[in-house]
Parts: sequence; structure tokens; C-alpha cells
Amino acid sequence: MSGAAEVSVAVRQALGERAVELREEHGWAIATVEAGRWFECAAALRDALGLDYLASLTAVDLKDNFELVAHLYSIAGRGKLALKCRLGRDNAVVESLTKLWSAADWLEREAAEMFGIHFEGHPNLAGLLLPDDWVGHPLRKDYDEADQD
Amino acid sequence: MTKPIRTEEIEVSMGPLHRGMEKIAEKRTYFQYMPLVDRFDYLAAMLNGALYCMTIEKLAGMEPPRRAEYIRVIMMELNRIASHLVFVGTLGLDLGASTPFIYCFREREEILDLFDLVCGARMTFNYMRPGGVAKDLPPEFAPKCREFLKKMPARLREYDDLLSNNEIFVERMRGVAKIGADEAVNLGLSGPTLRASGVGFDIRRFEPYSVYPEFDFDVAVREEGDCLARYLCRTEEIRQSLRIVQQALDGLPEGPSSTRINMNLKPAAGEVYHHIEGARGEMGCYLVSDGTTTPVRLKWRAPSFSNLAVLTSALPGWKVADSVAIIGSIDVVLGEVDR
Repeated sequence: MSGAAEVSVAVRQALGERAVELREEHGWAIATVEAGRWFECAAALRDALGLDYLASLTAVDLKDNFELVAHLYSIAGRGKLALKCRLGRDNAVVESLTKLWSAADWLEREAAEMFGIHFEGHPNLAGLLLPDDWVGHPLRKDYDEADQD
Repeated sequence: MTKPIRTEEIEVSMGPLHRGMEKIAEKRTYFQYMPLVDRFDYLAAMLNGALYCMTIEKLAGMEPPRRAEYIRVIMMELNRIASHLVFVGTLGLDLGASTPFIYCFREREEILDLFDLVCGARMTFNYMRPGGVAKDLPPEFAPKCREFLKKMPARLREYDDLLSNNEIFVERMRGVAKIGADEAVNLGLSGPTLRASGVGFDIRRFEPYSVYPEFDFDVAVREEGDCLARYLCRTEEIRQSLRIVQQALDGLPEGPSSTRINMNLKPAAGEVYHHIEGARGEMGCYLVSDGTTTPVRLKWRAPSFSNLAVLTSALPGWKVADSVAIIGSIDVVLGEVDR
């Protein structure tokens, strides 16, 4: 499989200035884009690098904001990439990737439920793992278990 | 004649086994969390433990001794066989064949006895450790394991007689719920469920980890994409795993089985997504560290979770009676779906 350095070059070519940050870590190329261009950049990268497989999509609560991260690769071995964007805590809204990879469907539903992120254009953003009457989004760092009772 | 009842639409409902395991990880040290990872895919817990430890090792920049790598491969492949035996047995049971189930569990029992010998547990092992394994193999292990390897080919022929060459079993699965290669990749399917659709994606080859490059084995791929292909991929994988265990036993190096490391491990700040070929497909662990004793985030990429999603498109159009074969052929473990 192509190494992180080659992938970085290809990402730079495909995204240009749209990649606001680009680094390599533990064999992964990690690209950060603006939240408003999340879908557009993901689509461009899928086509340019042949990233046909969405392995994982989740968020990390960095306290100041959320970081959305998608782990993508090409089944044919052309490389792997972690694509990220930052979302504000109070208006965590981003375009859904379900039109590009149907694998995003449940992964986004889980991220919506656990972090309170809204995925625009998702066909059915209903809860997945938690009971219907659950209060709050458990994977947020400011989540308080006491809210349940 | 009455018309068969067909599935029109399905909605998958999950969550009763959700234990908030990813949240718990943020409140435990890396070592304290170790026994919990066995509860993701509880039919193949050795693989969970190995993935978790490998991910920590990547973050912390450690490398286990070669003997530990070999022991891990033996455990992972034995566990893959044990897990596939449950699949073969229960699929037969779902389709009305109760005898093969007893046979498969007889052999799985022997593997569980081997695990018991190694770590004192049969399901949730807590055997892997960052930097190696908890204990070296006891002297009785190798002879007992060789005995098992010797026995298995004849046992596999028994299953073939009972199931693979059983017309009723075969006809209920041939041509049923075909999944195309493009659809399978787009949905994020993995493991035998993906390889049965003609996509030879196996992480042991795609991005080799541990000492897998040192072993000869074939990746089981089939083109048909139906329930039967998903079954046959797994029976072939049992044979390939037996080959790997044999080679690993033969080549088992001497030396230590673990490195001493600080129990209050603090991996350097950073992040890594590591993945291995689990019994059900791509099992991934995404760990984010801020340099303290607890991770900022642990995300478990469970193959069953992604594989289960195929049901929404695979079931509609088929007879309700076919749904047991279709669901059975996906082979999900709900512990890792709900986490």
C-alpha cells in the first residue's frame, strides 16, 4: 500500500488550499478541512485517491470543539487517509457523507446520538444504541451521568 | 397454491447490549480497561485483546518479543476457528440441522480447553498485554494443540458430509441474498461477508501486522456473493487458520513472552487507528492520547456493526423463511454491535 507521504502529496494535489492542515502520524496521512467543505472535500478525495472504503467515522470531544474523523482507504491498496474537520460545540452541523459511502449511515447515526452532531441530508438520523428516553449525549466530555435520574 | 410471504422492508433495532464501553475507556487507565475489551466480540476475545494491545503498542512505540507475537498468532487463529465453528453449528441449527451443532461445539470445546490451559478462562481471557502476553505457554500446550490440529481435517470432512454436501442445507442458501462487490465495499462490509462477494480484502494481507508475513496461507474468496458463499468462505478459513497455527507452533521461537512495562502507562500524546482481521472482519481501534494515563477517546470499529447494515438491503424481496439463512450467513455478535 502507498505510504503516508505519497498520500499526503496526492491530498495536496486534490484539495490545494482546502486542506487547512496536513500531517503524518503512525503511518496515516491526516488531513483537516473546513467543516463547510466536509462533503465537497470527501468527494474530491474519494475520486482522486480511489478511497472506496469508509472504515470508521466518529468524533472526539476536544472540549473547545468536536473533531469529526473519518478513516478511509482504497481496497485496491492505493492508500489510507484520516479526514478531519472541527465543529463548534453549540452548532455542530455538517453535511452527511451517506451519498458517497452508504457505510456512513449508521456511523453518523451513532455519532449524532453520542455527541449531538447533526448530519444534514442524512436519510434517517434516529437514535441507534440508546433507549428512546435517554437524556444527553454520553460521549461528550461535559455529559453528566446524574442527568439520567 | 398460496403465495409465500416475502419481506418488504426491514428496520434493524439494536442497543440492549449497549454498555457504554467507549465511555468507560475514558475513565480507566490503559491497563484497567484490558479485561473489558474481551466483551466486544465475546466469541473471539483473543482477537479483541490483541488489537487493543497492538494499538497501545503503536501509540507508545513498543514492540513485543517475537515469541509473544507467535503466541498471539496461535491464540488469534485458534479463536478464529472456535468462532467459525460456532457459526457453522448455529447456521445449521437455524436451518433445522441439529447434529452438526453438537459436532462443532465438541471441537470448539477442545479449543476452549486449550485457552483454559493458557490463561484459566474459556471466553473472556484477559490474556494479551501491551508488550506481550500475560503468561508464557505451559509445557502441556504444544502437544495438546498438535493433537487437536491432527484431528481436525477428519472432523472438517464430517461437517462437509453433514452440511456442505447436504442438499437441503445447500438449496436453502444457494443463490439467496446475493450481495454485489461494489455494494459490499460501499457498505463497509468486511471479513468473510465481504470476501464471499469476490473482494479479496483481508487485513492480514492488505496491511500485514504482527508476524503474519512469515506464514503461508490463502485468503478464502468466492465470487457468488450468496449465503452459500459466505458459509463456504468460513469453512475454508478454518482450514487456513489450522495451517497458520501449525506453522506458528513449528516455528515458535525461544525467549521472553513479554516485556516489562509500567502499569501506569502514559503513551505520548497522539492518535492512531489500528486494524486487524477479526473473526468477522475489519476490527479497528482508534485511540487518542493526551499523554496521561487515560485515553481521550477510544473508538471500537466492530465488523458486526457494519456487516449488520447489509440486512436492510439484503432481506427485502426474500421469503420470510429465508431470513434465518440470510441473518445467519452474516454472522454477527451483538456484543460488539452494541458495545
